[in-house]
Amino acid sequence: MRSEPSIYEILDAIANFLEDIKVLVSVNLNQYILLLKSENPPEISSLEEIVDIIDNNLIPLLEGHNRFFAFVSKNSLKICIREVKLIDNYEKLEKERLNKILNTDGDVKKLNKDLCERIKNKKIDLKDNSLKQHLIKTTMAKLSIDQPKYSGYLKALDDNYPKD
Amino acid sequence: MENLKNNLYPIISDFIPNITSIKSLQRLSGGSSNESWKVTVSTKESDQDIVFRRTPDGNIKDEESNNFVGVINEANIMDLAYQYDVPVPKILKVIDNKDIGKGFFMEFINGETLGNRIVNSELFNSTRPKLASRCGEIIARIHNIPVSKINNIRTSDANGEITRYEEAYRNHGQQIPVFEYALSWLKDNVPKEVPLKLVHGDFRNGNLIISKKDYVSAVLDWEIFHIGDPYEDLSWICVNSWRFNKIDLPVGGFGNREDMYQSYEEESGEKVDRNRAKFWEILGTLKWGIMCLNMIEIYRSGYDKSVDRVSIGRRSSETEIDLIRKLIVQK
Repeated sequence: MRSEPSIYEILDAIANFLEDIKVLVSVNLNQYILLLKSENPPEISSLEEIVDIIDNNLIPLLEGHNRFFAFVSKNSLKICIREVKLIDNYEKLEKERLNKILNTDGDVKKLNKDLCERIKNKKIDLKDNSLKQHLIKTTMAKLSIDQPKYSGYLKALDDNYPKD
Repeated sequence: MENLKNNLYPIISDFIPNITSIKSLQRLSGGSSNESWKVTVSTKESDQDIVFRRTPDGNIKDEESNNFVGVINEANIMDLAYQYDVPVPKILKVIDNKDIGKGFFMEFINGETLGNRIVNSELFNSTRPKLASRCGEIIARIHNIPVSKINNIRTSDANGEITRYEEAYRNHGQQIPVFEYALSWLKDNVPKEVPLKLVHGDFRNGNLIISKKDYVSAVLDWEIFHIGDPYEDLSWICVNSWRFNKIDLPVGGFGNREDMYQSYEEESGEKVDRNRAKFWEILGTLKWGIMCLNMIEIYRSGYDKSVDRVSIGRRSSETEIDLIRKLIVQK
């Protein structure tokens, strides 16, 4: 299950930030703003190029709130890069597990809705080991994209939690 | 900023009559609905720092929502807490001004508020071991403030908190099976009622001014205080997201639960029920996860279009792994 906000919302927010600061820096940011606002799936190499620009050309020039936003933008771009690289495989495995647990088909969103309903209505519980394994693996996958340095995730890796 | 300076000058001269100028204004971080400014005031004798906190014009969305008490109530509760020996900055003046909005002035207290530095800096090596018990003592003093002294503030116990956050989660609309399981578990395990107290509501590392001299010099950000279950405060500071990666030091990333509980028991005379605290830590973890989702909604509403606001949404998953560790693998 893809986390929210979507990478498109994140990239749009970064584009708006670059728009706000473009008069403060000597680098021409227009081409990057256009790239971030594109509706096509982003190329990893383009996102990596923008990370470099932020690191080398923006952060050293900025201060206060703008400097903080530049760091946030850099980290958020890295989330997007990891998602583009990993999400298709994660979702394929997640869907396979959900098909088995729920014994139904459908897209990942619909399957998750179905699973949530069953948990809410106590039609399924953690005595079902496949559900437990599924929740752990899906969450580990999310963390590897969203927060790979988070202490709870590192602890779970240390404790050999199952993962895709 | 010049405009703000000019507007502030006559107001400050009410309580610092020998003011000669406002030397500087510096925006401080912290607080989600209100702005804080450090104001350096010059007088003939010396310079003096104070803090001005306000709800800027047009910023009524948060104040209108039932989470935030509004800046005037925040000043009033800090004033009350001060009388009950809770370390808070002394309130100097409360204003409701057509040019600069509602707000208040308070004393400036030196110290560190950044959670990361508090848990990592060598400067605090000898301070950290004392912080958990100091927190227990302060939380007990907050809970000792008579509820009868507070008017028109929302009451929310465990069921109330679950309902509020479930509603926010459903309104957001994302389907998160781990949250669904946590909600179901929480509803099945609500502890029996205890007398409700005044709770700070956001008592955590990041909202405390830490110094070598006083350990905890002040408790800040009272904007979501309410009448609630006292275990809300004892557990919120233990939620893993406020440990700043020091996962093995559950109280704020600097201390142990038992140190905090013992000093709370000594100060309040009330025994801490450890199981009840665990329930509230799980509820706190889920609450922070849903608050992160709410940040996405605030971004989408157009109220705050910053990259910081929207990216916090991706921190929601950190609470999923914490819920898995506490609720699903432990079972």
